[in-house]
Amino acid sequence: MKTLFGAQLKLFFRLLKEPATAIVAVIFFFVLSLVMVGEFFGFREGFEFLFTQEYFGRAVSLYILEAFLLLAFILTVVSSVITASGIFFHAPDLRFAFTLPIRAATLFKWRLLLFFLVSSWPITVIAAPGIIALGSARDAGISFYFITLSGLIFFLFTACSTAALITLFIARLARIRTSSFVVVGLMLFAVLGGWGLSQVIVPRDIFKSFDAVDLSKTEAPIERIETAFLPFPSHPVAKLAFNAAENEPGIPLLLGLVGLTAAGLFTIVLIFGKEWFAKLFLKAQEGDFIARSEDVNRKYTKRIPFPLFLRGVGGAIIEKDIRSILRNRRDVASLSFFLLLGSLYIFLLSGAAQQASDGYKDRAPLLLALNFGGIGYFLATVSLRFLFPLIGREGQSAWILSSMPVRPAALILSKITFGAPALTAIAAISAVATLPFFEVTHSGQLHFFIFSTLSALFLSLFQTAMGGVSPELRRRDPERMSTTPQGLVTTFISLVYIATGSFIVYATASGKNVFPYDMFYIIFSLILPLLILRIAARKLTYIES
Amino acid sequence: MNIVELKNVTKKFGPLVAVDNLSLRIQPGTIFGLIGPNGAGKTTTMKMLVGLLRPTKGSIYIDGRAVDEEPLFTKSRLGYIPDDPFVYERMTGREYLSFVAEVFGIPKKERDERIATISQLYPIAPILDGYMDNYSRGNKQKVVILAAFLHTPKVLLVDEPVVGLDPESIAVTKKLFRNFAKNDGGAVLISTHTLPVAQDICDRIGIIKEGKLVVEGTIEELQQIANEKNASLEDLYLHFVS
Repeated sequence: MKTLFGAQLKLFFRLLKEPATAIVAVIFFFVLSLVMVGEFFGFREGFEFLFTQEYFGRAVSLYILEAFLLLAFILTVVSSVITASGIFFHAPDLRFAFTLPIRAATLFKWRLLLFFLVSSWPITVIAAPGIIALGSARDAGISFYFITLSGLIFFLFTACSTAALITLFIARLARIRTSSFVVVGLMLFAVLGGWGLSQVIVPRDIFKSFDAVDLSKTEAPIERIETAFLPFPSHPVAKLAFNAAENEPGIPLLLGLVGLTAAGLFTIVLIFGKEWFAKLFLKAQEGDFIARSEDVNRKYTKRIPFPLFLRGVGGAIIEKDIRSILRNRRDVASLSFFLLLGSLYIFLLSGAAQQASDGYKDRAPLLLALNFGGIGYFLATVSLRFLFPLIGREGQSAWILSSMPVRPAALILSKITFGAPALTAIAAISAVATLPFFEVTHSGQLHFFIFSTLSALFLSLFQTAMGGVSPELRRRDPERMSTTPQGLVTTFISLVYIATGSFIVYATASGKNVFPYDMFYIIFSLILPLLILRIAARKLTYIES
Repeated sequence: MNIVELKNVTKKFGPLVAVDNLSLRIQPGTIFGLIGPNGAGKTTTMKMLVGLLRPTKGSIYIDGRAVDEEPLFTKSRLGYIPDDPFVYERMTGREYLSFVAEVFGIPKKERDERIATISQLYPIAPILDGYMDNYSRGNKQKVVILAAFLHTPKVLLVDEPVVGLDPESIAVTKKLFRNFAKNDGGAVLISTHTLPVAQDICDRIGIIKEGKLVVEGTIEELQQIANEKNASLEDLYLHFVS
């Protein structure tokens, strides 16, 4: 175990010795730190304000703690399950390790440790700054930080153990291929999951949660909030942080409960892992079809004609990409994850807007700009995951298209034809779904709609082209492509672009004349992608890497 | 007329000269074997012929047209079988063949007939509807070889054709190449370390070392140059390379 993990660390630090990797790592951690610092100050200001509110202060603080810890828990579990199969069953170093005289239980512990490290980001990035901000806002002593950070570590163990257990059970139960039924089912589950989560965070009668009808009380009650979040493993941690900040009793009991839950789940994971891991690993090596032992007597296979819908060079490439993505479990899982986030966002917004008081309408321009930023950030993330790597994911099979009479421009065009309509459709649907919640004029709505769809068009063209300028053909994992230097530059430009769009949307909704900015935005949206596309087409003439 | 021609081709990767002023001509109906030690520049030469790599100096012609000037034309005349058969993992073998046919613009009816015919060449019909990431290396290689024949090319560029193939499939593959050259008038350029295969099917042999063509000719011509009558290709190889 020590040797295995030591070798992993050595490899990691050796990678960091390469200048390009080191620069990427520094930029990555710098951006991450900026996000955490920004989050800390945002939360601290919010908590400081809330503690000045006599009636709602405590209740809203608890509500915020509950809501964002629940979100952190869900994000940790879902994103961890998506990455889990690679860590536990398909990593090349694990395949090699299985040929060595090492017990499977030891290998499982090694992978579990890696899994915990990889999966810890949502709790570290989302939850930790919020909890520290709470302590800072309350001028809490060292004991607060000790208690809450211990609670968070236990929480991390709970979330990761839950994800590991789900992974083991999925691997045990699901010997199914990613059929169209599974894809549609997962998508539906993601949409319903987003809706369900939004109902917990913003229930229909949210004001009743704070008992706002009975103002004879000096303070809003917190019991209803506690009851609403009681079924979730994040509740004891939220309550622990709240009690520690408020100097309320029950802290040892809560810490004990959180610790026991973590230890219990962790033990269960170890027991199941010891029992199942070796068998599941071997099963996973059999592949999906033909190579599976249960398929040995299979006589009939469902044959889908190729191409099914589209024709010609471009059509064949698009259908190839669609089939490759829909048949890849991780891609389908990532799509579902994005769908969950999108659905959660729209349902949360809908719930909040329907119940908000008229006061929020004064802030419509700001909220509209935030909505544009939210949609834009979502589009940029989806695009980074699926469109930026679209050329790179040709990988070492890039020789196939490069050895056939296919112009590089035709290749790029087919990738764009695949990505741009899909991303623009997401933008249009998001705009149409969210605009009714904002009190803006028809012209403001039209402006928002045009800017959203234009942004989607820009992001799809720009990111696909950037992915083609110097594609990482030896790095097949599309999730990691966005962490290359080129991926980071693409991310940075995309985020600055979205922030600029948000500013223009804000100014327009505020009634200011921003025609020159509009023009600049539109021209930039078209010119930059065309320039990058030209460079990419030239670069793709040969595969020099 | 030469169907494949390299004129003073050099390829550098930074300070490394992978191919050094190489000139070569191949006639239609010929199977030409390119042999040499590891790192001699065989695969680099193949990739330049396909148009995957740009030569640093010199010119390459396929069917009379320059590869760098008319890549679509030259690629339409080529069938390429690389040394590592990396394929689209999440496609079935049959889908892959259809994909290649669609890109080459073969009409659907003709494509289906051709796929049905060529898929009989190797015993792979039972796995043709399974995803290719579950294929063995040899089976991937077979699908790639079949795909190279789909559009009836004029030139086959084959990098290590028999690695991973079982003996029966090696025999089938050799017959395929022979028929392609002798019956269809195509040219085959084979880069290989498997000397018995080269000796068995190649009409001419070129030995390449450190990017330079050391010698070129028929086996008999090479025996004369080496002054070793009845020498095997292995003996000749060792003679010229060591």
